[in-house]
Formats: sequence, structure tokens, C-alpha cells
Amino acid sequence: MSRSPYENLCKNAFWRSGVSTKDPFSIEGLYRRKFKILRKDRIATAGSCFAQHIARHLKERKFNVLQYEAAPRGMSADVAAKYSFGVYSCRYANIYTTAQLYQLAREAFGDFSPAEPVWEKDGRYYDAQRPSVEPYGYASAKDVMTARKKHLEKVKAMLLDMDVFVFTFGLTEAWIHTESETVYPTAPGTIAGSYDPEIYSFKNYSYNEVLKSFNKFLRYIRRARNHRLRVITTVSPVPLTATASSLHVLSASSYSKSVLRAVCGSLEGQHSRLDYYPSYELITAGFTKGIFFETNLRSVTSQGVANAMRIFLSEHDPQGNENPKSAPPNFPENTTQGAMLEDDIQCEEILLEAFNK
Amino acid sequence: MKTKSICVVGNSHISALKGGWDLIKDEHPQQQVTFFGGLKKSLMNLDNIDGKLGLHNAEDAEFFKKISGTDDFLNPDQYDVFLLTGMGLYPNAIINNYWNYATPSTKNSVSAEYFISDEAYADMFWQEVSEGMMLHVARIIRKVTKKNIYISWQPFLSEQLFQIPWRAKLFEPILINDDYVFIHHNMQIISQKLKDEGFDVLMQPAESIFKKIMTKKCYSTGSMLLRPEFNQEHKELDVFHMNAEYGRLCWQMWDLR
Repeated sequence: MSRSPYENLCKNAFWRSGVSTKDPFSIEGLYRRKFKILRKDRIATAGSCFAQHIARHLKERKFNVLQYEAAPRGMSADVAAKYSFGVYSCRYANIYTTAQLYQLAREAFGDFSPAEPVWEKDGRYYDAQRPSVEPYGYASAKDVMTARKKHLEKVKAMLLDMDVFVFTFGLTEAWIHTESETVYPTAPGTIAGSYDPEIYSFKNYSYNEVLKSFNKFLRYIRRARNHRLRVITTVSPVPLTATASSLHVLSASSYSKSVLRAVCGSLEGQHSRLDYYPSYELITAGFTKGIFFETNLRSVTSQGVANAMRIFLSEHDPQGNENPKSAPPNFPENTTQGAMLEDDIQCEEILLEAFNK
Repeated sequence: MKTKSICVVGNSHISALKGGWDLIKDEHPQQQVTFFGGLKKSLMNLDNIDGKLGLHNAEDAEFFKKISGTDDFLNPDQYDVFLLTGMGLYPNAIINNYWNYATPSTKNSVSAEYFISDEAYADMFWQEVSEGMMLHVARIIRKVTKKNIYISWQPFLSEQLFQIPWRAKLFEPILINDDYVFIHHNMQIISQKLKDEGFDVLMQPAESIFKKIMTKKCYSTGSMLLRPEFNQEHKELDVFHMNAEYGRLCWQMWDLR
């Protein structure tokens, strides 16, 4: 009698029973946590726009999400969001690439100085590494650097203190200072600065480069730290707003997300204390039939976020699942509630749409 | 003062103006001043109720009517000018954060943990004011009258605050760095925005100010509770409320037209 290695596999190993017959709101077994997160664990968050959802949901569940650059006392939520307070554990805004993450860590520990650190626009000066955090910039480049110095002190403290680091991989595409390879979170000329092809160039990081820079980041901070770090990685399901790769944006997006997803898979295999949470699959896979995207087919609906977070929290906070907040979403699509939740997200990349003429 | 009928609206801070008016009213027989007050944050709910301004909550409504002596809600037609006082118009957000948040305009960038833009402070302050009780009341009154509405800044805290260690900790760095200018500048920004909305703005009389950002003790000692039935002073270390002498000074210095 012949035997097959597939005959004793569970139902989730087969597409028909694991996916095609499943409701995206009730799919199970897609994520099994690799390690526990305790309420006392110091959690730091960073990455692409989608990481903001994770931070917010963890805070709602009273996890110890670190906040090293809190908003001034009494600042309203609206104003705090405008100035990027409370979005991540430090006020670094979105970190779309692993190259920028590694670069930030080295800068925080004094081993790196970015080229062209200050960008100008209409007589105001902006931090080129986080141009959106001060929407009106500063009156002088010196002020920008003073603010950056204080910011880096906090980033360093965060990197040393955190027990769990949650990072959402966002993009492979970036703009760099050609000579020094300083990487920026936005293209020069988008929020501030000006694009000069003699100074700046486009970079589309490869699988090897993304993997290498994240591993370098882990090794780099490990040397300075005195306790073990657990890492949770995710890939942002949000497609690119625009590409400078010369590819169709759909192909460019597929490339970017495929590379990032593959890197996360490799990292998960390489590191015992690094977990991958499949929010990307939960939102983009064919079985969802696109219901988790807004009509622009890019922004993730609040139902999509809630569903993704429900599955994440069912592993990391199963007791909290009794909380009604974590129940599967039940409000109609395109409600004001949904729009408001989505609008809360800070995303510089979307500013590229303004150049679509 | 040429105005005949003045309507004062505010929270517990109207007590100083009320006490001050009692001291000088005999010198101004042609003037009538009516005080409408609400305790705590009740005036956040001031509303137009059948053409008069009042409060829906029964207890708050009763107090509002009773304190005015009219036994009625505020009828805007009966007054020539409106004076609003207290109600949180105070640079609380600026003073509370100064010690730890420096800006390009302040002199504390070495000691402060954070460095943020002046615009962030200004936005924070304006948001607080624009969503606060003072502007709510001012806007409700403006909806029903074109008469002058004077908005007065809540007085700076009494110099007595130095007897409260945590408050002293907030004020000391401002004084050491001579950064009162930063506080005043942010108040000017707010004043201009209020003027842009069509309100007149009244500053605290200079004579009452101590070291640029506090109020002299002699204007706070003996401040009275607003509730008339209590007829008693605020607790000894109340640094928010001013006394009748402060009220008298305001009436003397402010020119309500």
C-alpha cells in the first residue's frame, strides 16, 4: 500500500480546507506565536504605516508599549498626531526600509552621521530623516540638529531598554544620498528638500540587502544590550503609492512585498526569538476577495485591521479576547467609524500621490 | 466706564470681580453689573434656551440663575457689553511643559529632555483654548448678539505657589531662564486669534503681576468662594483665585466700551 507524506497533515495544510472554504473573519491556525509577550515586557514599535495599528491595539490591551518621546502634557490627540507624538515608541515617524532602521541605530549610538541631514523648504528647515514630524519645520538648520540630538538620545535608550521589538517591513524602494548611501524615508522634494540627481538616487533594495541590513541591525544592537531581545516582524499589506523603479506600480508593489515577505520568512528561520506575524497574508490573500481594502484598493479598512489584530491578540492576549473591543468587527463597510480609524494613520508615502498628474 | 449694563460671565473667578464691584459700585451709580456664574466646568454646556442663555442641567441652571440675582437665564438683550472671566483661559499648557520641552525660542534646551518647535506649543495652546470653556461661552454669546464681548485672561497664579513644591518646580526654570517672554508671546498669539474672531481681549492689570508670570500675594490672599451661601475664603494655599482688591483693580484698569 502506497503512502504519501501529505496524508496525515492537518486541514490547514490544504488550500481547499485551510483557505478556500474559510471565512476571512474566522480563519484559524494561521498564526501560532513563537513566544509569549507579558504585560510587563517593554515593547517598542517601529516601521511602516501599518505598524501604527499594532502599537495602538497593544496599548488598548494595556501592554507596556514604550513611549520615549511622549506628547507634552495637555496636548490634544489631534495636535499630538499632527506632530507625530505617540505614533511609535520614539518620534522617528515611519521607517520604511531596514536600511534606514540600521542606519538610525548606528546614528543613535554615534557611529553614523547622515549626509544632507537637513532639508529646506520655503525658508523653513526639516529633519531629512523624519521630515513629517514637524509640519512647519524650524527656522534654522541648527534647531533641526538640536531636536535630532535629543531624539537620538531617546532612540538609543529605547534600543537598549526594549524587551520586544515590533517592526513592520514597508518598502524596498528608497531614496539615498548617492555618495554616502545615506537612506531617507521620503524622496527629496516630497515634504521638503529638493531632488538633485547629482546628489540623490533611487534605490530598490534586493532580498539580500534587506535581509543583511536587518541582521546587521540585530547584531549591532545586541552588542550594546545586556538582555535578550524578542522581535516580531510583519509586512505591511499596503501597496506602494508610487514607484520610481520604471516598473508598473503593480509589479513594483509585488516585487517589494514579495522580497519583504521572503526576508521575514528567512529571518524567522534564522532566529529563535524572532516571530513573523502574517498580517500581510490576512489582508491581501485571494480568499479575502479584496474586502479588507478601501475603494482605492490600497488603504486597509478598519475591519481588515481589526481582523488582523484579532488573530494577533488571540495568540498574545487570549484572555483579553473576552473584551468586546477585540471581537470580530461587525459594522458596515465604509462607515465613518472605519474612515476615522484609517485616517488616524500617519503615512508620508501617500504624499507621492500629489505628483500623479 | 461709560457702559450702563455690564454682564459678567465666568466660573469661580467671577468672585473677584463681584467682590471688587461691591467695593466701588457706589462710585458708579449709572452702571449696573450682573454676574452669571457656573461652578467647575458647567459653562461648557451653556446653551441658547428659547432665546436666553442658560444651562440644561437643573442644578447648574438653578445656580446660574441664583448667582445672577435675576432668577432667570441670561437675556442678551438686557446688556450693553459682556465681560468673560476665568474659565481656563490661562497658559497652563505652556507653563506645565516648559521645564521638559524646550523650543528654539526658549533658553532651556540644555536642561529639557525634549526639543520641539514653537509651532507645536502654539498649536497645543490654541487647541486647548479653542475647545475650552471660555471660547465656548464667547461663541455662544456671539451667536445671539453683536455687542462687544470682552475676554479677560485668567490671572497668573499667586506667588504663593512657591509654597507648593511641585508648582515651584514648574515655575523656577522659567524664572531662572528669564523665559517669561516665551509665555507672553504664546499668550499674544492666542489674544490675536481671539481678536480675529471678533472678541476684545483684556490682559491682567500690570500692577498685579509679580515677576512677569505670577500674581502678587496681596491680590490673592482672602479670595472668596463663589457660592454665596458659604461666604468663606478659599483655602490658604489656593493660588488660582484672586480677592476683591484684584477685582477692584480690574474694574479700574479695564475700559469696557
